[in-house]
Amino acid sequence: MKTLEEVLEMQEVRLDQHALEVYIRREWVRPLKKKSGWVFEEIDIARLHLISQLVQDMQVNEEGMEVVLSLLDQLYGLRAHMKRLTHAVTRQPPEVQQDIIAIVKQMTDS
Amino acid sequence: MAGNPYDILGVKKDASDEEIKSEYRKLAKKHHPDLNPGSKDAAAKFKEINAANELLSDRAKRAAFDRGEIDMEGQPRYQQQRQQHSYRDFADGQQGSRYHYTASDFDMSDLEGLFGMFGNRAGGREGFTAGRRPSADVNYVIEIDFLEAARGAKKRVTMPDGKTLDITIPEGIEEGQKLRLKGKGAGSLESPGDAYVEVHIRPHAFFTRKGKDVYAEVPVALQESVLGGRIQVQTVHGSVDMNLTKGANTGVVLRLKGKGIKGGDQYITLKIVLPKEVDTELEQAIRTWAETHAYNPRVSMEAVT
Repeated sequence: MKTLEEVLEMQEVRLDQHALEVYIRREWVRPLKKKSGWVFEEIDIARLHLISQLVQDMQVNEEGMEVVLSLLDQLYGLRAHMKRLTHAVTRQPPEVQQDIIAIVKQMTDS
Repeated sequence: MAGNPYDILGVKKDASDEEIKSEYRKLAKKHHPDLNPGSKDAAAKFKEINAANELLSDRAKRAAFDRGEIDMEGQPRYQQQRQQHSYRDFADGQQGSRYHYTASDFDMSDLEGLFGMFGNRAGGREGFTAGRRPSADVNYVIEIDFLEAARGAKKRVTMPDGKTLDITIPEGIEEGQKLRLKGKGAGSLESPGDAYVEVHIRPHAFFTRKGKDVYAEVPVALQESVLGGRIQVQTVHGSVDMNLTKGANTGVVLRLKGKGIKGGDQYITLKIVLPKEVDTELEQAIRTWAETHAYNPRVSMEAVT
């Protein structure tokens, strides 16, 4: 948990206050809003770090960033769902698991 | 880290700063681990690319490397920090749902699509599937009972996408055979594609089969074997009566013509089974009989050893 000021002090984030406020306004990063101000969890900081890499090292511009983050959120959303599915499959009897694996394999090959 | 930073970035020794920067960006975009969460190699590759760039974009370090004074070690500052705050770690974890786009409104009918997306990757270039039109055909696997396969059956099954499919299993279907259900694929109304159902047959407790012929071992009582008579035998089409000749022994194979699958035969192998308990009456009868009828069924066995 970090405040906005603490985040700005972190070297790896490489952001000035103006940029950070813009990111929050655009909802590229969504820290929690508390009475005392913004609160950043670890995932928010990691996401900010990723955004600054995308901006500074990979030259993704503003318009591109919307697309990149949207696809990224979809990708991780799907991964999470995939994980839940995989978990559900592992709870099935072995024959059912075999069937599911066989179907997926078949669809992969066709 | 060992290795040559020029090779890693794929640039010549006399590459300009601009060239190095440009190549680095290209590779970084391609290999950033947060953008390639499914790839195990991406993190290591990305680390390598960054180390190479760190070295070559620093004039003094690059010159020292060119003179052979240093090798490619010294982790860039960048790396150690990345370890602590990899977005991938959090996005895949508990907190990740805060940003996940599809987490709450995921429709179970997308399930098939979810598995299907791996299908596209197998054929086309990796990560380049958008332009490829997926086949409207779908493949399923079902498992049926031995008797359903032997006699034919109608099955209604629920597919992974929630749709139900009525399948007519033809009499005598073979293990692994594929049925084609025309127009039952996953495509649009105009071109629905076909569903292919691969059929697997569960083994039966008593029957086995070879093509159209069915095989079974049939237990017979001691008196049935010795005296002969009518016994009832199960076939895939129900039970039939048959005559046992006097003295029909264990291992004798009898054919029930036309009682197999689709006009095939059923073969039964007899197996003499003693009563659960050998009482004094049976013991006495055999004892009396044996006094004058000694025989050795292992003669042929002894001959070969």
